[in-house]
Amino acid sequence: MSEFGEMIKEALLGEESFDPSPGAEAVKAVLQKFDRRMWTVRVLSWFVVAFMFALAIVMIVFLLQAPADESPGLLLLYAVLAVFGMTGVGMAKGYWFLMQNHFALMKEVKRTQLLLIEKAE
Amino acid sequence: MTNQRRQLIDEMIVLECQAGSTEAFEVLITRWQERLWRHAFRLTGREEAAWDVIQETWLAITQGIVRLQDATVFRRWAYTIVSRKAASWQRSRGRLERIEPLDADGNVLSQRKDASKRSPASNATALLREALEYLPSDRQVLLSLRHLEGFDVHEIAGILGIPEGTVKSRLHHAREELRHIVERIDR
Repeated sequence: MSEFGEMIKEALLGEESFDPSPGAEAVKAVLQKFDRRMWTVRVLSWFVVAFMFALAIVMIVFLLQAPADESPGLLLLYAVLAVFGMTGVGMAKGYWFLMQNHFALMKEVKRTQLLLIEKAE
Repeated sequence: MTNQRRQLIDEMIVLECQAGSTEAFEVLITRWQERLWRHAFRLTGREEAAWDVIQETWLAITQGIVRLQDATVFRRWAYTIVSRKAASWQRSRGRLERIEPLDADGNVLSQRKDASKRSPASNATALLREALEYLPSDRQVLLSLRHLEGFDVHEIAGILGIPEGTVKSRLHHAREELRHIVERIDR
């Protein structure tokens, strides 16, 4: 940055002091909203997984307990719904697993970068 | 703390937020509130409006942070939201808040800031600080994004929603205007 640029930065840095108190209530509201949002997402994802799991189990039970003269169309519907339920559970769990791994991996990368910077200093 | 280290810590906090940690979100707000508020204040020219803009910004961040693909772009993303919310506030008010430019006689501005609240500075810095007050608010925003926050021209263009060429020319004019005002005050 040029010398003039540095001077501008210094001048901008020295503006009047910041008072966070007018925003304190707003911060509380935002944090509550964030907390509620995360809770809703968690509950909804568990609900979806539970629904898919229940669907798969019920369809498998129907398939196993179906009478010998059950129509092939109905048996096929049970099988398709069971596969759909299992795929749903698998995909949801897989997505969750990948996301958690992604976050853990990225945090580890950042932590390593931070350590390298500290060592270099 | 070096900029690089601060940036890495911010990215780790963003990742924690994306994983659903409310504590991390509180830390994120603490670390960014002042900088984002100052940007909002420069854009709106009013303290109350800046607080409104900031609240709306954080609400937008709570909705979008989980979908943010790359934690490294959080800084630019947050500034972009502030700029959009401020523009929306200005549209809703039907006016553009500007700090009055220097008149022909070099008269003091009506919105002059309280000097007693500012940190002490060297003569050159004090002079420059005074000159900055005479600069229109959109020029102040550009200078602060470039020199205080360290955004490059491409990032500033994204934040303010204007072409890169316009950013370059406005930055050039802002610096020239500032030099001109400093010379007039110093005379």
